[in-house]
Amino acid sequence: MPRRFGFFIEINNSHIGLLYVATGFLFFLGAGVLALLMRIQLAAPGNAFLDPRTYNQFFTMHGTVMMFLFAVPIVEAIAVLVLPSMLGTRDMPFPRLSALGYWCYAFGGALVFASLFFGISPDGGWFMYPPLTGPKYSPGLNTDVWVLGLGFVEISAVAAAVELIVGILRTRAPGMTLGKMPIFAWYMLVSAGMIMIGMPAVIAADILLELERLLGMPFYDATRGGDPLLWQHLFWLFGHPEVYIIFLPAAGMVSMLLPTFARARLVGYTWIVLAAIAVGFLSFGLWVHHMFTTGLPLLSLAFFSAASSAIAIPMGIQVFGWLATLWDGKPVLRVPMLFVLGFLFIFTIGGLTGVMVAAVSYDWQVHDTYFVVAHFHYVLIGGMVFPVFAALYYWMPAATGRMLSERFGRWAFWLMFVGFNAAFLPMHLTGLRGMPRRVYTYSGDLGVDWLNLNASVFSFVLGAGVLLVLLDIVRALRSPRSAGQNPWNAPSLEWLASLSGHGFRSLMPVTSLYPLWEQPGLREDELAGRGYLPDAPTGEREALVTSAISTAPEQIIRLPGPGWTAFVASAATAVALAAGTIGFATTALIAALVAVGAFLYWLWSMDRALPRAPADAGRGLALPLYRNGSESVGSWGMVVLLISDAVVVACFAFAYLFLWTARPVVWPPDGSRLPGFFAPGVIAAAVAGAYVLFEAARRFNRRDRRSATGLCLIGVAILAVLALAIGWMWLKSLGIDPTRHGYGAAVWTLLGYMAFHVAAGAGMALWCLARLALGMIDSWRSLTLHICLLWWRLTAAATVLTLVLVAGFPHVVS
Amino acid sequence: MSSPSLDAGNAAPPSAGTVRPLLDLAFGFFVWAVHFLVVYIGTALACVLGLGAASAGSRTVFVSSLAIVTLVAVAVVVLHALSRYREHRTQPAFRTAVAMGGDAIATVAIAWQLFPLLLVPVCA
Repeated sequence: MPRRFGFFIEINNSHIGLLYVATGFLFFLGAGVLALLMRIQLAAPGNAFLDPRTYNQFFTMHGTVMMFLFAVPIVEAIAVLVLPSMLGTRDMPFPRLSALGYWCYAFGGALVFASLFFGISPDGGWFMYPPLTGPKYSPGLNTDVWVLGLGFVEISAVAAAVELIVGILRTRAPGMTLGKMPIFAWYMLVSAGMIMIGMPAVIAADILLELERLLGMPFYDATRGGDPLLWQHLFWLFGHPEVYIIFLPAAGMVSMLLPTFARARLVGYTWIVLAAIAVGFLSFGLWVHHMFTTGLPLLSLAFFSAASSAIAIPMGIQVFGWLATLWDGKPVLRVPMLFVLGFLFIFTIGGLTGVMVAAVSYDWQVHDTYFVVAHFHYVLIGGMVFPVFAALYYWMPAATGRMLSERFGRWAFWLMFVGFNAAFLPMHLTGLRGMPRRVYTYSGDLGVDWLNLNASVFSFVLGAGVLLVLLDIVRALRSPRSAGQNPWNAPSLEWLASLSGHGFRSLMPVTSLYPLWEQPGLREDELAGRGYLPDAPTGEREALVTSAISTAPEQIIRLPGPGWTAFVASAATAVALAAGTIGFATTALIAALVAVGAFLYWLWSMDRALPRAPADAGRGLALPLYRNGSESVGSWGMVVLLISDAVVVACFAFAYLFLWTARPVVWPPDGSRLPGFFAPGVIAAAVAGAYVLFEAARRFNRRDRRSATGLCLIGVAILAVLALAIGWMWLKSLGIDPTRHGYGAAVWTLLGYMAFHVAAGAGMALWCLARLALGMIDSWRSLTLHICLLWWRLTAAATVLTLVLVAGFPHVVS
Repeated sequence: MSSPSLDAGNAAPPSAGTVRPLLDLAFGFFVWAVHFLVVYIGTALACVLGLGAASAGSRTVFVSSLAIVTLVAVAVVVLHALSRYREHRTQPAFRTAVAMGGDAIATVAIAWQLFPLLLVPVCA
């Protein structure tokens, strides 16, 4: 492969991770420029620097880009870059998935950001509440750009989360048990798990919004049985945990940096792990925290208020753990440490105002004012941006071999710290005086002129600090590599490997939470090849799969090398989405076909033939090169993905039920027929039968009974098509119009989503049949069959439950 | 060279030995999540179905039911913590500590919901 294409085809984590980080920072800078332009507009009352329409686009894009294109991707990017080495392995388990995720993010983000230059960028706020963003009040392309572009970005976030979960659980160095796992890995594990559960909620909300805009299905239209609050529930079910999705990795970075600069072990490691898990769960009980003014019953609000207070316990545990680490050690005040101290100061203030707005009565007073703007900027900039800058200074030598300047760094820190506090602290006051957010100007009568001017001036001081960091990065990248191997004398494994170079010579077993401090001779043993996989028995890049709990070595996996598949698949998908959004149907169709072709090629090339004999893994151990069951990393990846898929189904079911609670009348409310039970029973039997046949196919295949396997797979496809045909006829016979009422829209969406699953399941059966016929599936080489079976397990269960809901619920409420 | 057993198709169900210990670390939080959904959805449904206009006795019965559910949830989590304590000699200290600490935080978070239940009028 020509080297000049390396930028597009390299898929290893060092390359993709660096691209990911760089792209994230580009979006950060773009969103920062938008913020500065808004601050110019708000510097004086009645200013005309930006017109209201442009201002709407700018504040929407500022929030959207910061939250979706910077905050979540950058923490995943840093994890993709440093986690494999930190875990003592050579790469993430699915490098092509990482590459796909990155390119989807880059193209989707570029699509959304570029819309600014064509005047079609989103303008409904980063949370895009309907009915403002519905077809009636936002008839242009602006909202579609947001939905489609960010849908793409959301998919990339889920892809990275799958990668991170499986990577952390299954590719840790031997000996790196749960209690010896780097704290950053724990934080990323929790955060990735939250993405898997939270992100599908906003994906489901996006799908419903686009169905309403494109096909007129009234999910959020109160005049036709919809409810705008449905969007708020789904959005904030993701949106509030998102604050913690980005905070937890940042807290993980802080927890990695503190021991290095305090020259002491992290105090309360176990408690901090526990706190991270607790925050991961409790954060899902806070979403109504953003809906205190929507008229929900007081008791419901109070449940969320109580949960909002309860989360202070694990947050407090972390802060005290960090302070105790500083107390316990002899801190060295280098630039990363300055940013960590800035984080502690700013984030704690944000946390305190968070407790204030968690009180319902207080929130009613400051809702939609600049007090809230000040609060969440203290939380997000303090809790995430400062730690990310600390991480940037800290891991720069590992990633590039170059140090950033200590002198420039100190200047940058103080400019950012002073600029931030002087800009945002006054916003608490402007908010308390009643200045509303998201409005392009304000009245001089409010008495907030000088406070706003002050905020605008110091926002540029904050911007100057960021600019200085940028200049320093450029300066460092133009200078020779001179950082040395471990300039901070850090204790974790990423400093053993050169992230920008060859990685590990061999994979060393770990016996300590701080291997570089407490395992003498580790570096020499690693370089001498005395670890696992010092040579490549398959002649390819390899890594170890270890058990999730004990980390005993279980398998050697081969890591794919450079290739075009991920780039082409994501580029073609992006073109298809962009062309579809602006109405270029032919281009969209051609690009979609290319994308489908690329994905099919990718899938076809997987599950390669490998020898059955174990291969030499080093240290006197022989390990299999292939696993065909549920212990394979592919199977783990599929299970994690299916959990997200199940959450999407649950969100659609929630939408169906929620629309009834909005108007608890007899269903069906749209004049359509009451669903019977016969047809759903037949459909459920057909789907269940297809699943049983797939299970049978796998059992026959294990015994090498190829004909019986093939017949079962044909039976699966026939039953699936039968279920689809009967389902279609049943739905038509009920006379449900998806555009007449929210009920019909919800029924069509639920059943349509399950029909997609059944149809995809039929395709998988035929796929397996083709591979079986070509000798690409046999009793040994059967991972494809196993993974398709996992799909059918979810499909069968979810379809039956969906049918019970759609057919049964109207009888219950009748 | 030693060789671990291969998963040649007749694989053991993987996950019993792996997934359960992982999920057990967060047992208390799973109970918290179920409890939270029960009290929140229960309240929302009850209010939709007209509990706000029902007699004071009905409302008292409803709140008492949720309080009992809360106490049961607390009991389940405490029992789990006790069982982990009994097994602490045979389990790694880290996993025992995380499981029991999680139970402790979950217990507080669940019991915390008694405040709104007992202090805030239902469906107001």
